[in-house]
Amino acid sequence: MRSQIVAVGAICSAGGDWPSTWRALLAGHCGGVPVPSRYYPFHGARAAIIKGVDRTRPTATASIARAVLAQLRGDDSSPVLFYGGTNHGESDLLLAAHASDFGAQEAWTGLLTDSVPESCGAGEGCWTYSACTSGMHALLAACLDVTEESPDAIVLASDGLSAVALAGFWQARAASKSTCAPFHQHRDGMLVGEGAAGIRVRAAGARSRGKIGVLGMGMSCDALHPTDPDPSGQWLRTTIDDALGRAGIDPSSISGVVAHGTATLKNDAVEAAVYRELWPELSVPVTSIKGTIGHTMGAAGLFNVLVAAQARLDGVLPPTVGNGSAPIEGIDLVVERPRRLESSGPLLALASGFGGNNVACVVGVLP
Amino acid sequence: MNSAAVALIQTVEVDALSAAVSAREVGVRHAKLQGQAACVAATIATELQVRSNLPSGKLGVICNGGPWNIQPSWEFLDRMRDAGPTAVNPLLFPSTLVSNTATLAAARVGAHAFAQVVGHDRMAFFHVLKRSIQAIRTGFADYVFAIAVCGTDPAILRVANATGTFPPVPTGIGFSLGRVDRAPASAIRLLQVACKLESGPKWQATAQYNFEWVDHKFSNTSPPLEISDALGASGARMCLIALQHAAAVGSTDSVLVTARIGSRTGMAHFSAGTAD
Repeated sequence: MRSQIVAVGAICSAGGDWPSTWRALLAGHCGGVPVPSRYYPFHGARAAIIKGVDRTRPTATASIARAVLAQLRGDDSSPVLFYGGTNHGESDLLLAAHASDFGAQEAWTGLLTDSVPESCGAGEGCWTYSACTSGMHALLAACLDVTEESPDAIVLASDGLSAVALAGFWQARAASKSTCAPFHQHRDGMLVGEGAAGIRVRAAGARSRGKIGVLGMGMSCDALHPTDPDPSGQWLRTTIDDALGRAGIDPSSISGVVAHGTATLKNDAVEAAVYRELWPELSVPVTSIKGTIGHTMGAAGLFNVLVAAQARLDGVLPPTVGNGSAPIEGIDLVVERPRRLESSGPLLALASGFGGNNVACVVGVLP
Repeated sequence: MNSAAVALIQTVEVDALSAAVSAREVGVRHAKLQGQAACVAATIATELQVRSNLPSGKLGVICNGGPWNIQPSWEFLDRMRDAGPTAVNPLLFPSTLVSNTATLAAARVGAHAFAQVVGHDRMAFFHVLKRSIQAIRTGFADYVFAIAVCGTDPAILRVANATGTFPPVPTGIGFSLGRVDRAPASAIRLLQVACKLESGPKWQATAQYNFEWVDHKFSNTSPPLEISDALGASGARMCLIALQHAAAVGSTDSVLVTARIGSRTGMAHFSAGTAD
């Protein structure tokens, strides 16, 4: 399972590549703009939207995935294993087909075959659909598959802005009407976003000693509710324990947490309770990036892994966007400015999704 | 990955149309808001749980992908168009996700290891098998329900008509897989399973019973067996027919199923001996 992170790529509302995204995260920029009218009149709704994406033709999900794939591949045409993750990747096609009253042959064909995997140009591989854990599940599968004899694996997770998601979260009262402030007491919901993240991994070996990589991962499913997390948090805790166990470390070794942290009332309450249980002495700083880049859906978990890897390299965690209210009690939330990591231990990155999936990833220096 | 052998414990095939109807009538939460395929997946999971008689352990669910969420999404979009985004039913929202087939099934049987949907086309079930085997061998699950569904909701049939594709066949097939050393003695079928996908060179079949699927036919049987199109569930239909065919002639020691789509090959090897 131990895998070296060889290269990363990203595109989101805060940056067109990973370095610019990381700078925006460190600056703690508050993300989101009013939702354009093309996405129906969501009065007061905000979303984290990537500028310059061609939305006149399906699909934005595939187009931003292609951009990240190019960042990861460059001119390299060597064989790679491919693992994709997406959540609402076909939404653009659905909207196009719906608006055309069955007239758009291209859209219909895309719906039948799911155009995202092929059209992003990644070649043969497997796409995972597990809502907002899609990218993390893809990473887990990749880390299990790569060997010292196999090609590298490219893990690519992508989701374009979806009117279905906007309306769904809005109606479920899970979308913020003000500032998205994860883990703050007066939070009012998520910032719906879009983005693609990519990671190139290879099996850890003698030559990867001292490099940044995946040390262990865990996964579970609440198997309880279509949208809400299990309020007991037991399966999220199981997931973290599994990841730590596979990494061969205990909770006290963790130097920081890049949380799922959507800023919805239920998710953040459950997550925070699990962190309080794991680190009752407030010994581990916790951050969420979703106030800056929004909830990138199927790509969200992979973005968290990127943040954990960069945080380990730079020794600093980006802050969580706030809204003036106090952080949830009992966790050491990183706010206002970046926090220097106090230990050289690995970081924990998390993702949870609709249907109750949880995935955890321990990222650190490979032994 | 360790090499712990993976056993095929049980197979289930359901009448997909009836299963969807019954799931909507009883048992499945918010079933009226679910697509047909999700209801079928939940029914299959329940059947597998009952028939497999599994000892306690970590259970995961993996389903094939495909356009199974179109019907709920279509209804969602109709409502948005007709009455505005603030009039949509939020309970319908999770059904618009491709992942819903697996998570609904997992909730039905308490599968706490994971609930994933993998693949998106006719090669999908080979990805399902491969991911299932990987999860069992690496200890992420003791058992996996590998579920194949093909829905024929009205919106999917409209897609098929609009694209000139012949109508898909409603399908519901499930395989329960588990570690050989955890498989119950009552298992009616105990075969080891391996799966491989590759692009490029032709797979060299070496098993005792070889089934090759090209263009909806088992091309190497005489006469060729027609396989109706089950889209992302086609691989499961192939595997099930191959296993049944092999059993009918008393030859289940080693059954190799290969599917070719262009330059891509999916392979599942059901073997009473060494799987790898």
